[in-house]
Amino acid sequence: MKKNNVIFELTVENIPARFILDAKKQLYEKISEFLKNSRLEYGEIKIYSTYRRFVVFIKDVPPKTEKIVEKIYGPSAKMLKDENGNYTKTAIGFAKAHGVDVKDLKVETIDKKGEIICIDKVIPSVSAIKILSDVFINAIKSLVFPKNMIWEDSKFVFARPIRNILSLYGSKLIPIEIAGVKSSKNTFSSYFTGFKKIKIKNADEYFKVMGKNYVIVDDEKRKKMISNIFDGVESYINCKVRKDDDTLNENLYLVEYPSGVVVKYPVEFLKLPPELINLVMKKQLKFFSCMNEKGELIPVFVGIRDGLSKGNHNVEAGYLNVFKARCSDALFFYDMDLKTKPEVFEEKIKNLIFHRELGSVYDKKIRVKNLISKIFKDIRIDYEKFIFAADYLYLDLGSNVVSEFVELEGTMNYYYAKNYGINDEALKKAISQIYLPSPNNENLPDGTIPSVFAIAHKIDSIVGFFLLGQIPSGSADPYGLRRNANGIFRIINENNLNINLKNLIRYSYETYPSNIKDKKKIETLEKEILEFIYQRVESYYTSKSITSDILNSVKSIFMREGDLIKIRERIQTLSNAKNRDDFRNISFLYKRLKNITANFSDIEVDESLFEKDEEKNLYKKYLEIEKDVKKYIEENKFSNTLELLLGISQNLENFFKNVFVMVDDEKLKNNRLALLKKIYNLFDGIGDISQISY
Amino acid sequence: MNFQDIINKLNEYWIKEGCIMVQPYDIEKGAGTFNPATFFGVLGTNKWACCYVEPSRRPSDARFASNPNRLGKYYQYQVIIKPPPKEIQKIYLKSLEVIGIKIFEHDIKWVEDDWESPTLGASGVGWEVWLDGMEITQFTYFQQMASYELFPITVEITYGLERLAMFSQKKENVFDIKWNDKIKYGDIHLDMEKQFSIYNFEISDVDRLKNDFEYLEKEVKRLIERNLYYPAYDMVMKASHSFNLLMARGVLSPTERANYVKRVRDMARLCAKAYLQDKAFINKEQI
Repeated sequence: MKKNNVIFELTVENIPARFILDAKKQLYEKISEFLKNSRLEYGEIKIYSTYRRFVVFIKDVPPKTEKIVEKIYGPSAKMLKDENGNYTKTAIGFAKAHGVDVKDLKVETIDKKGEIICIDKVIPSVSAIKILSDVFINAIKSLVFPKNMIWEDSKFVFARPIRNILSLYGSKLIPIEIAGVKSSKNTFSSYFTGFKKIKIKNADEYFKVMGKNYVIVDDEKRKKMISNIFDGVESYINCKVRKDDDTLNENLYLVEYPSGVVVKYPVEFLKLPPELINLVMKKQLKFFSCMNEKGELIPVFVGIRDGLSKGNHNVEAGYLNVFKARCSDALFFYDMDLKTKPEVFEEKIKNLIFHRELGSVYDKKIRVKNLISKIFKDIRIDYEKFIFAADYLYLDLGSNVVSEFVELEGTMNYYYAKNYGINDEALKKAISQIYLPSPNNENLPDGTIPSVFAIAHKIDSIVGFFLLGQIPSGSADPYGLRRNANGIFRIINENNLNINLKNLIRYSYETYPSNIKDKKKIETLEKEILEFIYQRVESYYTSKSITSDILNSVKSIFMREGDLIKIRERIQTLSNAKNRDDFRNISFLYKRLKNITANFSDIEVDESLFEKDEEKNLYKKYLEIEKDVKKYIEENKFSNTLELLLGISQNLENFFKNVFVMVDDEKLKNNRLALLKKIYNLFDGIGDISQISY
Repeated sequence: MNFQDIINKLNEYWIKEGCIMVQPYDIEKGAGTFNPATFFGVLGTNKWACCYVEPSRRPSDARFASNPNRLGKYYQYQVIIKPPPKEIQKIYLKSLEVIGIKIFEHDIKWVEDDWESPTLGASGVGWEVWLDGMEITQFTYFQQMASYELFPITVEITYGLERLAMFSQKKENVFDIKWNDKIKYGDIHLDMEKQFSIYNFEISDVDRLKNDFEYLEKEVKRLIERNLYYPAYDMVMKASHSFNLLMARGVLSPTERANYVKRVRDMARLCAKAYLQDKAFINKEQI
């Protein structure tokens, strides 16, 4: 059978860029699934999209499916007819269920089962056109978008109005009707060529004909064209284009034929912070900034226009005008903010609600300052002299720029710092990097002081909302507490900070007024928050291929200590050791230790009660290593600890082999248990390795 | 193209497309959507197509005539078509040509922007149309009005007339727009804009505005009881404007603000309900 290619193009009024990638994925999955169920063969499926077309290309499709005969086995042959020779109800039901006449039922003999009723079910050949018609209709109907609408009589629900359907099997029309639109062999060019009607004679010529009409259907090709535009600009004016991924993706789905427009703007706008310019570019204009080799902005940007380069001077002038309008506004606000005294900002944040019960942003500032001072005392006493900088936290929230561009909270404080009288780079960072790491900027605060500020900012929110019982569950996390917890973990872990979480929670708790503190016991709060942070720890290490047994084995220590660095070292030690034979052996011995000493309290060992050499030797070994084990744990040298513990396994094994613990003599029994308990306790600083699974 | 010629050309064009040219409605309002031709026009199952200029008042946007782009009062050009024609995007783009914009020589982008008016309980799905990067039109398929799901759907096209004129005349300041060959936009509007800015931000009588709002809300209820939904809707527009003036004075807390918005929305809902019930009644009689 001669195979043909298939093209399906759905024209839709401008689909929002953010909908497209997911819709393409859904289309691919649905079409693959439906085609598989239909038994229609095909070479491959390709999905393409522009802002007004979803395009499906299917390679090498035969004109129809093969007719096949399928054997369906039913109940035992005894059930075919009753003693009177009439078909039984079972037989009639079976035939009916498969849509055949009861007289067509046959009997076949099958190994081990004997005689069985069976049907030769004929699955007829179906034409590709019929199948494809159903597949496309159902695939389009199944698409789910973040937001939908209706627009015509049948109330078909879709992202935007569907306006044309082109659908061809080779050169034949695949009849389709969706939302009152019937398929045809025609499509339309883009607006800049006047929505010209284009007839497609054959699926094979679709891409070529569209290309000739300045519609680049293939997303990858358009991407390449845009990247060529950037390359051209970079070599022409010797700069680097800031290729922000989100903006790039959005532009990809705002044009069918990308052309570059390079715009020079007045240098005075470079007075604005680069973050502000980049934000305006990204959010309001969807243009791309240019930088010199040092990464500083230069007064040039690149816009991607939809269409040919005809009238480019118009577009250039227009782009420049909107840039100027947006940035003049920003510049006006920025200049005003630079002239504003910190006291004025402070008055404003007194009126800015952080949370109804947790007070104003100003109240938060006071708490966070208090907290930073306590953390400083723990890590380095001479840091106390930097605490004054905390007075300027959050002040930018009272500024005009931040009320216009919320995304710049924190960032703007860096630029206002000079006005506050802060010139030290570390302190400028400290009052501006508190929101890091954020979804827009994965970087961590730069240095110890900024890290402490950022941690204090985050734990204050977590403690406050946990006290109010606002604990994130499911996907609901309106105050971004998971992000905050993750930030604390990352900052401490990656910057190797000696900050204990239990202390942190307690310090923060103490900064709240008593009516808030009274809502929860500190022990409960501590447990809930440590539990919450440990979930972030788990998901981080899981992504680093650490197995859950290891994470479970150190959890109780974490809940007791609240020390992220020590937990990291333990996890490292255990995961390195896990596949060693001697470790595997000791983890089994430890399990026995754990079971046998469960519920047994610590008492002293009485050497005079030892009867066997194995007891004496084990105790001797214990005394030999005990001090070093404690010392190593103190020094975070967990792999040394583990080596010592591994050294005890021979003695322990001998003990279990030759000493019976549960003797009738209470004294003797308790003495042996006391010894085992001591050994058991040695492992305490490493983790509950009985949880390691093999 | 002169400001008044743009209006004339758009009128001519949309009349040819089958719209009836209604007139601005003589009560202050925040947007052309508030005009009864739109508010009532989009409700119900009847066909409806109209176009009009609507002076729109946004007291908070006033800038004492010192900002080249922002005004406390400006002009919208509004087109309403129910149900929307299949080629409406093409028809819209042609309207730009009649006011002298050769679209092949420009960049036109449709950027997702789902319009919403919480005070009217109205929402729709659509775009901002960007002409060489500048927003010139809000293009919306209404899905809801006065909290009622709409069917059939209406398309609303709202042009910013000053934006178009600035674009067409290459002006950077709205007050420099040529109204005709002799008179500038500023000649007509500059003093007005200054005086209204002072009124909006400094002089308006806050207590009186609050009292007015209470009175108007009561009037809506009283008038609806007598099924006088058109006069009642006048009161809704006035209440909405009183609220906008209060906003400009910055005297409403966020909670109060949300409460006022809800009250206007509830009033609008009453008017829409009375209208729909009344029209259904007339239809039954006719059958």
